[in-house]
Parts: sequence; structure tokens; C-alpha cells
Amino acid sequence: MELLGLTPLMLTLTLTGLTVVVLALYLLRNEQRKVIVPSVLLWDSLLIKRKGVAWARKLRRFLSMLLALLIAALLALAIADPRRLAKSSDRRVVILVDASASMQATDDKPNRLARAKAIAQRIVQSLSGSDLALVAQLDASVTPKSTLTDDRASLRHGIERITKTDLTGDLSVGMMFALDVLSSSKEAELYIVSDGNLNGIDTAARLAGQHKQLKVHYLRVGSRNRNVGIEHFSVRRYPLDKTHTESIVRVRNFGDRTETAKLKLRAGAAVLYEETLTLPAHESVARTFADLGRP
Amino acid sequence: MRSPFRRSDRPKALHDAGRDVSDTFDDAFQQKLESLVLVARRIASGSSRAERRTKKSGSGIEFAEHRPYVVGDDFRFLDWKAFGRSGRLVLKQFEEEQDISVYLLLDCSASMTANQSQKLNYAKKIAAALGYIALAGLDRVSVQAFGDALGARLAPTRGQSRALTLLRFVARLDGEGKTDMAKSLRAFAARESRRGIAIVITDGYDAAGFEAGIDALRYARFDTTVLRVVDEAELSPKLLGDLTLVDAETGDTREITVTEAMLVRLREAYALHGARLASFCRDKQVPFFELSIATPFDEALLHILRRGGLLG
Repeated sequence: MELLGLTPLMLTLTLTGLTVVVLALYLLRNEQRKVIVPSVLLWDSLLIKRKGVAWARKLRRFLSMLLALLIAALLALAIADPRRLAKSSDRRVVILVDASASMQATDDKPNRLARAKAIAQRIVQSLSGSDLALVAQLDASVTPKSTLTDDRASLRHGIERITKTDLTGDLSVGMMFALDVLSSSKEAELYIVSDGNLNGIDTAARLAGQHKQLKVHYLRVGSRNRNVGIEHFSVRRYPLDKTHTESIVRVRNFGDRTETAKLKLRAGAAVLYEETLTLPAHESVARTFADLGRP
Repeated sequence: MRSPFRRSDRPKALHDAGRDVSDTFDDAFQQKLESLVLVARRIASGSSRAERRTKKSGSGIEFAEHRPYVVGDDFRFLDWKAFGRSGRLVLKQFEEEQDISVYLLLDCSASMTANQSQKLNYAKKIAAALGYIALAGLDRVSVQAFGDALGARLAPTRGQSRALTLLRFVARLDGEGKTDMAKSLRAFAARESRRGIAIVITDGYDAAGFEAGIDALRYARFDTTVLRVVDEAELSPKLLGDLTLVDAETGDTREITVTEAMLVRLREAYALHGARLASFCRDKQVPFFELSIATPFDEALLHILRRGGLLG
């Protein structure tokens, strides 16, 4: 057990202080309000009947004080933030949060990336006191968002700084990064928070297989496996007649199944082009337009 | 009836009597006193007692009765006309008017003033009014303060001109110390050789009991009346929670948790205490009156005078 909030000395001092305060309050409370009465003669006749109650009253006051002391002790312990020590002090964790284009899908509310960040926060929360962790953003490359640290605040802040990208995610890059970070650790763990629409999965699996000491946890977000998106979109002028333009759009199905997708090009509220496309697995379809948007 | 405070002189009389008197007995109080005297006289004139007179022969002029002559009787009182009619020697007897001594025994213990209670002030008004009425009836009035022993005393005095002295004395009485009615009233009975009416004005709080004190007066053949002054605030004190009760007289303390249910039982105990005092007095044929300080003192006195014909 270790204390993250307070040192043992500070905890002792806090407990002592709270105990003194509680006891002082009870002692002050025992200095009850004095009321002058003409005679205690009549009250005595009532007190005789209530001798048994007097014991109960003292006991109640004592129990009340014990309860107050217990609450004060629990409060001090909460401030001290005790954590159970990890079995091994060599645990190292890398958390890869997928920030590729597919993570902007909204089947998870508000979107997959937000859901992935929330999961990453929970992973950080569950780390024990001696764990060292690193948070990194995964897309076409890997961007570390924190150092390898036991500072929860730094890790939480790193997760918050992960931003969406319009890039294709590549897990093999992420895996190599993780192996570099965790190479010296005997107890290494890799958390991948992703929707699974990543390139380089096979390579990553092979690399992971070569490092048996690495525990890989895959935490999936997103309820659908559909992964269709605009892969390329550009506009250029004709070299010989610069008053006219040509546009090209390429839509790709990253999934393993044939998908049907609706391509819709807009200029503000006006729909310029609309078509329903059927895309075989891992295939792309391109469309070119002359003077797109010109009346 | 002539008042010692003539209307034109009344403010001056109060001023001369000092601040104590004017604080305790204001102008309205003195006006009520005069009304009470008139009422007391009217009540007295309609009652069978009329004037207080002795049955024994004396120097009075009003014929009372005949009695047979015995050797040694004064020849001057022989009724020769009766002898002429009946042939028997009889003596004429006359009623002698005699002033009665009224002793006002005022409980001046600390319980009478505890928690700014107005019991003592009320008792002082009652005592002053009774004394005033008695002085107006040409009776001898004495005021005796008591607590755990006899306190200040106004020696027996008579005449309406002494009213201001009476008021001044009563006004200066203050509440302090314990109550020991047995000790005080025994001492009083032993000291006062002249018997009369003893009016005990008290709140009835005596740890040792009130019975022995009242008995001491009865045994000494005082015509005893008990007036118990009660303060309703004591019946429904605004006390709740954990408290330390301090006895105003003894300083004894009691730690107690006061609940609403306990306050109900306190009122029952209070009523029981009053009933015990009343029952004792009734058994001993001692007139007993309970006076609430919420009742105007003149109303309370009229009630006493009508019910008990105490004075007049």
C-alpha cells in the first residue's frame, strides 16, 4: 500500500489534527447550555424516572463521538489517496489511441474518438501507483502525447490532447513504437483503443508474436465495421484553357466486404452531384467532373 | 375614605418615596389600591363578620350578653334592672373592639426572581395591597420577608398615614438565597407574641417541604392563609435539547435532555406540586389561593377577598 495524496507523516498529522478538532468540538458541546430554573425540585421527579435513559444518553453521545472520529479518519485517508502496490514494480504500459479518419464515425456518441479517449482515461485511472505509462496518438504515424510516467494528471492531459485526423491508421507503426518503448520492461502491456479499421494489422500481429512478454489488449470502439471514405479529392485547371476546371474524387472501401455508399458533393446547401456507389472490398472508385459547380 | 396619596400630591408622594417605590408601585397601582379598599369595605359590611371584635368583656360600649354573677365580679357591671325583673344577679358584658394584627410573610428567595421572573414583583404588589387594605381598616400591619431565615421586617404599624412607609419597605425587598419555610416560619411564630392573621405569599418551592412551616403558624394559633404565586412561563419553558439546569436557590445542577414529552411531564409534576400544597392546606383548613402573575393583581385580590373575606 502506498499513499499518493499525502506522505505518512502528513497523514499522521492530519489524523491527529482532525481528532483534536472533533474532540474539542465534543468537549465544547458537553459544556451544555446552562439554564437557571426556580427549582430543580420538579425536574428531579422526572429525572428519577429517567435514570436508565441517562445511561443511554451517555452511550449515544459516546457513539456519536466515535462516529465523528471515524468519519474524520476516513476523510484523512481519502485525502491521502492510498493505493495498493502492484505485484511488480516493472510494469510498463503504452496506450495507443486510434485517431484515424474512421474514428470520426458517430455510431458511438458523440463519436468513436471521444469514446476511445474515455476508455483511455479509465485505463489510466486503473493503473497502480508504481505503473509507468505512456499515451500516444495513432494514425498514419505515432505521436506520443506524454512521457513514460506515473503522473496520472500528465497522462490524463495527454489523452485530452489527442485530436482527430483524416489519415489512415497504421497499426504496424504503432506496434513498433510500443516495442521500442517497452523493450526493457519485463512486464509490458499495450492497450490499443481503436475501431479496428487500421492498416498493417498483420505486420503488427507478427511483431507482437515475436515478443511474448508483451501483453496486448485490444479495446474496440464503434458498433459497425463499415469503413468507406473519400480517399482523394482535388480540383485543377485545364493547362490550355484556365477558365475551366476538372475535379476528381476517389472513394475507397477499406473493409473486407462489398459496401454500398452514397457519394454526395455539395457547395453549401446546393447538391452538385449525387450517386450511389457499390464498392467491392478494398477497392476504390474514381469520378471526374468538368467545371463542377459551374451553372 | 381618605387616601394617604391625595390626588394632587400623588406624583410628589411617589417622588418623595424614592425611585424604588415609583418603579414597583406606579400611579395606576395606587389608584387600584383605593378602589380595592372600597370594595373590601363593601364586602366586609355584607359579611357576617362585620367588624373584628373580641367576645370577652372589655371597655367597649356595645352590649354583648349577660352572664351569671360569681363571687369576685365587679359590682359596677351588675345589671340591676335585670335583677329587678328576674331576681337573679347577672353581669352585663360588652364587646371590645380590637385591632387585628396582619402579618404579611413574603417569600424573598431567589426562586421568586429566577430567569427574570416577575413572581416577586407580583407578590410585592399583593402584599402591598393587602397591607394597604389592612391599614385602611385600622388594623396593625407587619411585613416579614423570609428565605432560609427571617429577613427584613416592617414592625407592626397602624394608621393609613403609614401606607407610604409600607410601600417603601415592600418595594425595597429583593429576592435572594434559599427557601426554608419551616425554619423561617417557626422563628416568626416564636417571635411574634401577638396573634393575628398570617398571610404567607410564596411560590411553594421548598426542598424540605412547606408543610412544617405552615404547621408552625397553625400551632402558634395564627389565622393562616397561603397565597401561591405561579408563573406560567415555568410551565412551558422554551427549553429543548441537552441542558444543564441550575437551581436558582441552591446552585445545584442537573444535566438533562429535554424533550417535548418531558415538558408535558413537567407540567404534570408542576400541577401535582400545586395540588399537593392545596390539598395540605384544605386538610388543615388553611385558606389557599393560587395566583397567576398573568392575572392583574387587583383581580386576584378581589377574588381572594370575595372568596375568603380575608380582610375588611
